[in-house]
Amino acid sequence: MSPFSRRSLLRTVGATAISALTAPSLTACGSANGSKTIDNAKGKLAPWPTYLPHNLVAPDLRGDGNFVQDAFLTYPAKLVPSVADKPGDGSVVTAIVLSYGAPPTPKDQSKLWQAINQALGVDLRLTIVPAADAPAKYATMMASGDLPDIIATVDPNSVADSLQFIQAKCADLTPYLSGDAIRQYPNLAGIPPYAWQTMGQLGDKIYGVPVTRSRIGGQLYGNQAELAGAGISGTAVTIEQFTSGIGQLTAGKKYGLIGAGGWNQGWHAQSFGVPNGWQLKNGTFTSQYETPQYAEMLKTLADWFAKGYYYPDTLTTQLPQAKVLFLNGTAATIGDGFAGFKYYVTAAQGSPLVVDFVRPYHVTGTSPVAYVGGGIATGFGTALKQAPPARIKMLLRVLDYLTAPFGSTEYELLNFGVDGVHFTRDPGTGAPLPTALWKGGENTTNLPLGLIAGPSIPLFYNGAPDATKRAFQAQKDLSPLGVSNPALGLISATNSKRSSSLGAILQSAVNDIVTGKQSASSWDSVVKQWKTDGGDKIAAEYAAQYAAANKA
Amino acid sequence: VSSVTQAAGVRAGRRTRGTRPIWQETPHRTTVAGKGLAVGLVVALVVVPFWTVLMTSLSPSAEVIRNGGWSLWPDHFTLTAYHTIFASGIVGHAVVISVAITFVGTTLSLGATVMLAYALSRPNVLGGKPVMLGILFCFLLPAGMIPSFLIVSDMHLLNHYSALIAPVLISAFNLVILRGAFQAVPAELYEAARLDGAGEVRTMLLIALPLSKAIVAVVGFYYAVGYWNSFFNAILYLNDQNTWPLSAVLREYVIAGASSDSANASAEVLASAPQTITMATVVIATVPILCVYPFLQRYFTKGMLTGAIKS
Repeated sequence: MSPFSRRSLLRTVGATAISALTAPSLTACGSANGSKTIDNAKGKLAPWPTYLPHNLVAPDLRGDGNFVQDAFLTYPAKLVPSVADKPGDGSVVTAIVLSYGAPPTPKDQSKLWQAINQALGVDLRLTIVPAADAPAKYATMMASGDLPDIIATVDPNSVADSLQFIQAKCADLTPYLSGDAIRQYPNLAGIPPYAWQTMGQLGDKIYGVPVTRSRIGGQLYGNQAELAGAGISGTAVTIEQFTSGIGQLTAGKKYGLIGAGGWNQGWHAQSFGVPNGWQLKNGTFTSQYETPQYAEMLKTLADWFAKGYYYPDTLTTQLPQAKVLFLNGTAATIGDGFAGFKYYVTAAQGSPLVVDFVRPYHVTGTSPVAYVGGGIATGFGTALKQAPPARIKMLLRVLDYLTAPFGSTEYELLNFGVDGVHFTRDPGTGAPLPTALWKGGENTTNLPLGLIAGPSIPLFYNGAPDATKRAFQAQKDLSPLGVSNPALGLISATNSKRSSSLGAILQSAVNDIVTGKQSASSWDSVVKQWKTDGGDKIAAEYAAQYAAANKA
Repeated sequence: VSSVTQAAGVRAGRRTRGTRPIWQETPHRTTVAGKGLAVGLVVALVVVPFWTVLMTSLSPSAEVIRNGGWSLWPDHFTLTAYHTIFASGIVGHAVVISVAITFVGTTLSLGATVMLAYALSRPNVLGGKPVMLGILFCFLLPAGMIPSFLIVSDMHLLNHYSALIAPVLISAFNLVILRGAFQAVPAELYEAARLDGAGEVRTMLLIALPLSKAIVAVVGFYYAVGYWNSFFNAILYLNDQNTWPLSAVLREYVIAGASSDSANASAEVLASAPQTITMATVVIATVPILCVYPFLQRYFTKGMLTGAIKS
């Protein structure tokens, strides 16, 4: 028999409900912090760091410093040091960083970690957080106030108030980095201006160092010979040709298209001229979902699905499985990030498979675009805990070392490890060839220093100069079509809170339409619902932020 | 009883030979075959996926790619995936940590839960009701991640293994189950023990516990599986990956490479974890629990029968 009466239970629940209701307001009082604001509207931006591109080693194919990256067909014959002195002072330096890899070999056993510590002149201690758990880990770190020296930040949209936190608790780096002050750190001065600008400033101050990435985004890859045989080759393919091409590639247990839990609609949208995320006109933000081109694209995808061009289990397939199905020929094409190309190049080495970039096709009445990103790794760059100037300078020298460019001795250590231990040299080209130790896990995917700081990585695929040329040509073809997302760098509180649930509703509607469970005409009402559920609010918040930033 | 038997005999009609109840009849061959088929099907539903996992983990990566992500019987067996996982030494270390955490954690949790459940199961314990209410309150409305983290941090448990045990020492759910089991022991037995001069501790150890063995075993198993599988607290409270238990380490092997394909993140997702490693991970994480299960199974059967027959 229960010792509780129904009334006492109700009392308990009631009391808890009240405490649950009052709790948020109490925390709200607590977090209202003084006069500082992260907006840059009221003052004037601090001068951006001077851009001093590296000229250590001349690239074989010169990029444009923006959308097209420098490319190296062979490994540089002679490496050059990019840092004059050992940056560290022998002290312990703690850092928190994301990881997309497996756990690294412990420091006392890892020759890689030890060599890097030796070269940096510090005892680097890392808190490595699996990317999937980063929001929780960072939220608790912020709550405890116990910060490591170096904080490689996460997407500000995934952790509430993280930008306010950086402004309140991290070091203002403006005096060290703004304008010509950055000359003290030559490798940091090689970070392209777009990376700094994407990162942005907080209250007109520089609070971080960005980790540069390629700006050209998601791609559709395919087997070059197979695609050419089906008439999909070059930049002038029309949607009719594309449709008939993937139709030819679909036969028996082979499919023209595969997605990983989706339909690669992000890639196809480019061909239909759909805006990159948002469209900005006269200060008003319009979502890509509201455009007629998006609805048109859904109709086409549904048509392809009905014809059986998509791998039937696309919705339950994840990227690693999709890669397997692409490599064994089940799927003729696959969608992946630009950097994902390296995987296919490595996987195809020693086989006749030549993986190439499919260019956006042409749809009557519109012209294709190519989505470009902000060019930095997720997050707000790398921030430093507040400390005396001498220590900040030392930590910036460590970041400077980690940003050593391709062709420097430091880059080789940070990306290939120790000569004779982690790699041997190709007798012909001198390029580093990874040893079993590196392949077995003692590598910089698992020791993710590249996510703390890193240079803009050139196009270079070891032993595959043709792949480098293909990637370079793809970037050259896509760069005139480049369109960025106008909401990039703007923060919407509604988006932070609701983007995942709102996105899930849209994705499920897209799935229903593509798979034929709903008619394409139902999309309008879905978008309307999305707008009332938060889409309109997100647009308004972006517009307000945009207006504030452009007031002065 | 006899009227029931007769009724069954009448209903069974021509199948009835004599007066035996229907469940004592020799079943027809088709019935046996049908049962066998049904049971076989259910067993296959459980065994085939696990068999696939095991075989895929023992296959060469190239073969798995050729087959489209899995293998039922590899052309040649290889332990490469297991070598890769154990090579860095971190997994081997994590196994030791996990076994220790599971053993110590289960022992402490079970001890604490039994004592608290017993105390709360006795009538007229001073403060029993408010304590129970407090526990249910926390059960219904858990504090949330950040307050828990701050408490652990303020108690200086961060980066210490006790952070994996102390915050989850007593599960309210298990407590309620055990308390119910102790309450189900006939009051006369408690009374008899008291008349024989037993104190509360002796009554708990010699009367309540032996009579609730099955439930205690099940609760212990719940705790053990919970400790074995828990990864999130380790990720939150232990900064050094070298101190993580197996579940947290293996999780990284599984999600490495499976992460987003968004343009900016995928620079890091170059070394995509081959399917074989993912499958080997599943095997390593599952086998220990599978080994323990048969020893506890008889208690599960007993636990299910508890209360089925009224004495």
